[in-house]
Amino acid sequence: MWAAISKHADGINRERIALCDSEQSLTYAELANRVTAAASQLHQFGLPQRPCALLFTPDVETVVQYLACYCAKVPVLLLDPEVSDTNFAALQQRYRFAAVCRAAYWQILDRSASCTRPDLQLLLTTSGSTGAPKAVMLSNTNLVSNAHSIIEYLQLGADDVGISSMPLNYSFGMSLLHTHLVAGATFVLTAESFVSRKFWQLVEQYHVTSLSGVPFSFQMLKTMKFGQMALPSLRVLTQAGGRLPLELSKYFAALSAERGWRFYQMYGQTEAAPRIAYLPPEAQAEFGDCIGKAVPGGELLLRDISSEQVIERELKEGELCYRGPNVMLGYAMDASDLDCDSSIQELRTGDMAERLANGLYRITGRRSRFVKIRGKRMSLDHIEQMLQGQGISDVIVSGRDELLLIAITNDAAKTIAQHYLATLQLHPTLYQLLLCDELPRYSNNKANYPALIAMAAET
Amino acid sequence: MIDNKLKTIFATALGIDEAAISDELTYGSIPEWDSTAHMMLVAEIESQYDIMLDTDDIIDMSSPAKAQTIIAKYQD
Repeated sequence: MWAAISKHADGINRERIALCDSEQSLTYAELANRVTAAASQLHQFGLPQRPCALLFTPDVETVVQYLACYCAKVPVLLLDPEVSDTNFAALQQRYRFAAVCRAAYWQILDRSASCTRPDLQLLLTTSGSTGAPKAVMLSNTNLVSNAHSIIEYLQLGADDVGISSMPLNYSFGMSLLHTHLVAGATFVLTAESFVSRKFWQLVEQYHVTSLSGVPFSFQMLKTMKFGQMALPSLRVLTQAGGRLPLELSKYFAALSAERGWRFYQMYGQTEAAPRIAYLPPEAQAEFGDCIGKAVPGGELLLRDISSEQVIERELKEGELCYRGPNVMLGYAMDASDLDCDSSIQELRTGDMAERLANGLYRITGRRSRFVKIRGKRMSLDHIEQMLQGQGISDVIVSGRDELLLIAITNDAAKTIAQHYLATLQLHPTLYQLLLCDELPRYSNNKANYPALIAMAAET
Repeated sequence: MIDNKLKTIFATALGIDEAAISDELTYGSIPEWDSTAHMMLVAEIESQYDIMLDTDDIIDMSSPAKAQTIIAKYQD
């Protein structure tokens, strides 16, 4: 990754702005000097190949330290800058970080931290704020190949300007940073959101050419009457992080056609560093409900869920699987996994899909027990286990995208559940607590999740 | 200070107590008032006052008092 970025420091883009925030901006030449200096400090600390953590605030100083981790081959786990002390302590116990970078300053935590596998570069947590203890292990090859694939299909060039409209510790936000820097483009760093005036001032000031978001971001843009904004420099809109409701997809397709923007709906998973598929803008009008085709260099296939055989027939549902150079090394549950030698040839997405006659793929359902809320994956089993761990013996957790459902049987359980939900920082409209006399279960006592979803729809 | 109707809208949208709605409250000043809550707020105001806010209203609506002023603009 660092080689793919630092090459711009010696070429025609050396004086181009690579990164800027409200305090400063760096050209590619300046960035290369800053990163090289920071990397030599990481060498002095003895951090190469030792697991580290980085609280990823969207500012130039932090991105310099982040890139120094690539330059010095320091494997790094990205964290929300607001991570609580309790959650950090739990992660530290699990992964035994050698050091942590907060506000761009390094603090050594464990001088005896052991070496990780040599190809491990990046660790990302998959489960939003639920803190499910599982990290995705990515190699430099995973990340560089995915950045090149994305640049190719989005046709990103050095004259593009992106902006951090999502947290950088989130795989989509991280990917925006990578693709712009590998393309020799400019990336604007801000923590502001679409509803803030400062965000739009930055878009205007730096002539931002591409905007990105999760489904909720696009709902926000529509509510804000995005179509009435001037945005003379805008060329590209990209959406990922869950399925965009068809009505929004049509709205943005029509608006983009009218304004001459290229609108891409994309599909991915953190496990694929993260991009797996995209819908070409020309297919948008007719096939807006599809995830499209595999990113360049990758391959999509469907497998029958009982026989595991590859499905060749059109319109036959199977589990969506993906092969490509961006498929992760594996999951790390604890420090010992960081030194394993696993590799994964084929990623099972947990989504069910079908292939159309024209080769485009369409998601038909989900096999795994997770929901996406505001673009973040939440494991229902993990939430269920957490609530059981806090003393609720009788609880069932289900839901759909943008709605978590928790069924309990008494007021004491309700109090515990409310307390737990507060730690997830979910808006009250994003969850429903159902107080039941008896939880919906099958005769074999297994949870009846469809019944719970039906009950919630009735209330 | 803002009227009671708007106070109730703020409390519902932000998921906080009406008692916590003060003049000092601003967008981003409490974790509850994030972009999700802001969108809820916009939707509630538009439906309860039967008005359509424009882009500038939505990004300027950074405090209860500002919201009151913006709503008043549509009621003249």
